Amino acid sequence: MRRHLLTDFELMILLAVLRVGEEAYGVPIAREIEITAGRSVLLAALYTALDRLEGNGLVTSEMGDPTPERGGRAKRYFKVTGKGLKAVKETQRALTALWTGIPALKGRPA
Amino acid sequence: MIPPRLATALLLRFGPQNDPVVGDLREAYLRGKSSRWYWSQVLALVCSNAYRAICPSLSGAATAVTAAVLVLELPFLAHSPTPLDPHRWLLMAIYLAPQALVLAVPVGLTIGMVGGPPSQMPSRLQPLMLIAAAFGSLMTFVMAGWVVPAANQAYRVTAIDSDALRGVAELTFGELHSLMKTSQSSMFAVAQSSERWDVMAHYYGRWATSCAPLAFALFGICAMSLSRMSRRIVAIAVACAYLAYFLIAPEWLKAFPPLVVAWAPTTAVAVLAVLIWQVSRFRASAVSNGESSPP
Repeated sequence: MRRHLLTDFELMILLAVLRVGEEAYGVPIAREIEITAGRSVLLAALYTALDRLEGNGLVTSEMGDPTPERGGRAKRYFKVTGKGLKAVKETQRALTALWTGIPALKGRPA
Repeated sequence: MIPPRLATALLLRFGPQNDPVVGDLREAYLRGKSSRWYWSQVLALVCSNAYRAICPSLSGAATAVTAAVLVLELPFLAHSPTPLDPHRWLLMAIYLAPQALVLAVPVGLTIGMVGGPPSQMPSRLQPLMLIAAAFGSLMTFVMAGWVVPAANQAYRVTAIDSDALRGVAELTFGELHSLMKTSQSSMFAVAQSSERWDVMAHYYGRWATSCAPLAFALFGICAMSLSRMSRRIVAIAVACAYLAYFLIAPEWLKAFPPLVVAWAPTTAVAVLAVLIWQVSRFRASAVSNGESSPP
């Protein structure tokens, strides 16, 4: 079976969804990526990637209740599926394998 | 604290029909994000939504543009005055490209848009299409006015392999404008073997060609009300007729005033668009009257 390797942004999103846990919707996912990766996130890009991940069966989503704070708009909560978790692990393995044996990268990360 | 109203209106009008993202933006703004951040997010969402709507039509449009460019270029390349080596042939094809592209791009984009599945171009995006078409018209004006004449002259020089006097098609928009007021003899001095009719037809023709993207966008929007098969047939027929008009030898058209000859194709496309719109309105009202009348 072909291994599903993720792009860096997809990997960040899946990790952010896993880190945020039950409250994983657009704003906390974007904030988690911004804080941990130091990278600003466009919600358009985030939702495009999440839609693609959902299409590939790596995440699932369900709608929450509308809240006044959000102008009566509902939240869309995301969860990583078993297939998504497997893809994260496979990507991690592939990246770690690439990492090892490079003298320039030895020592503590910057 | 209320998010920027204009940005929110833009988002609701042209953004994705995706409630969560609108709520996410509002929530993040209320939690301290800046107006600039809000605007950048909204513009990205609008652009991404438009791209998603257009994307499936792009391959059809690219094919149509390529076909139209070939149709417009091949007759010129086939009647080259000197024997062709591949290098010169390629150069001449490149120099002819701007002239072909100003006609082929609006035609090809319209075929791509009209040929796509029905849900691909939501009506909410139609104003964006008209704005894009207006920008296209502006670009075409610059291309037809200044880039095409320079490219045409380069084509002539390459074709005969020496310096060539410019004809009317090689004059810039400004030069054509100033020639409109001069005598026939001074016209000959600037544009080789050109009559007043040619100068006027080219001058008006460049205005008309510049308006073609708007006329085609209007046609495309109106054609979307037809069934998929009908609008495909109509669009291909219009595209073929429009391109064929520019391959007619100018001598055959000289019986008509230059203004009419120049504006005929663009006006015909716009008139057809209005006709289709009227027919669709008439059919829609007939259907609603039929539904509301008692059995």
